Amino acid sequence: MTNSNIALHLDNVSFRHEKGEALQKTSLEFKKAKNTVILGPNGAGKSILLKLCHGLLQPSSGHLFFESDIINTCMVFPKPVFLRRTVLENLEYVLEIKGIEKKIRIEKAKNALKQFSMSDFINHPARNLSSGEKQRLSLIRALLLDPDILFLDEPTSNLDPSATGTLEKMIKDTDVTTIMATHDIMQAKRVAEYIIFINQGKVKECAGAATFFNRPATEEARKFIEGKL
Amino acid sequence: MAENSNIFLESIYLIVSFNRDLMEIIGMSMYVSISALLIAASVGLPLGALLATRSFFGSKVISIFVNAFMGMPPVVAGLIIYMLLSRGGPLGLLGLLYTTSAMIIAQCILILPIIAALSRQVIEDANREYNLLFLSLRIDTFTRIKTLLIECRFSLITVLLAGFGRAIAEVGAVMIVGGNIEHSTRTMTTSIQMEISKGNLELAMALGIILLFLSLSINILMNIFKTYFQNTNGVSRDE
Repeated sequence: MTNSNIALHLDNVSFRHEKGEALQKTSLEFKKAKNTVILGPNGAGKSILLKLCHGLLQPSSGHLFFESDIINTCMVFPKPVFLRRTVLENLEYVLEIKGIEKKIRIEKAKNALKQFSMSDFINHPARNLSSGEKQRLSLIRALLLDPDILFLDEPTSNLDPSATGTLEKMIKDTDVTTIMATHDIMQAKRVAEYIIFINQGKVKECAGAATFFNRPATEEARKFIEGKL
Repeated sequence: MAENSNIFLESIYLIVSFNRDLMEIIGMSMYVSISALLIAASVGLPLGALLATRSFFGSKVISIFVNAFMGMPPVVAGLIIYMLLSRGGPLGLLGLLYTTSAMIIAQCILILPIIAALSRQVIEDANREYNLLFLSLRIDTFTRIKTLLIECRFSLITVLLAGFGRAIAEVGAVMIVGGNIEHSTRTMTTSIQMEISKGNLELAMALGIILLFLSLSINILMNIFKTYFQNTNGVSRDE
């Protein structure tokens, strides 16, 4: 167990793909128990940064390491993927993968659905849910795995304002360290305690949300906030 | 015209009276084709899943061969197995030529590539769709394949039915390696061919009707599975 307030360190991490360098020599620290938002325009490298953190991509250079007490990370994607099974069975599946016995996993899944007011959908085919319901279920599925860090890649990009509001409330209410990528400034204002501003594969600014929005340190951040970038 | 009507009525009578010869031939065909299907499925499905989910040394070559053998002419398969099993062939000592085992082997070789290639395609599509989920959950290859086989079960049943359809309707290879021996290796297709040449059109027609019925039943089953699958598992609104 460590007392460090830092959950994840990035040391000079770069990522290169066929189109060029998507992330350039990034050094960062993500704090624990903070709603951190990675903010930036489309194509800035937000999703790549999240995928690198979650281990879905390997850095071309540099190092990335978690504090010793960070064991489990989960990720929610813009378009969640569900098995061709019911809502309950989809939740059960991820618990089964983790080796939890059937009786306990059914109980856990039912409790989670109840907690997030989705009990009515328990026997619905997951793929027949609306986009908002699917994303809520995706978040429940991720939280069910008790992650130490939850990565959220533009989780509300396909949702209407009402569904977005519901999801944001779920994110804010959770005790888990969340790191969310978004290009939505208003959403960042509503959710973030800490902002990492990224543009063209480079981290331009890291600051508390209030500081970032009231006194942006860089010209690019100021232009982005004003909708001119 | 009247003669044809009589043949048709006679053939119907053979079916509804459960004519012993007819039933024996149908039983033999079903035994051979179902055995071939079970063996081909037990190899073809895991092979298809492996080719769909893993890239390993030789996997592309295997895929090319599997695809190429999908269209292998039955008589060629029959000839190869005949040469392998004939007395002078490498497997001649087993004494399998002109037995039901030889016919099962022949049908197996014909439908294995179909099952492997079609299941590879089905599972590959699903694997692409679920890839982020699997990567995110960090599951191993075995769990991935197991999940994909379960997820694609209804499509895979359709694949198996397609394999069965090919096996039961096959004539060239089983004729060569089975020899169409009465009460031993006579199947519906080999029997139809022989009865026509003998002029015994009633039995040929009865067997033809049964084959058509089986073909129709397979198609109806495929549709039932598809509808059931869509109703019980849902189709994404994005699909």
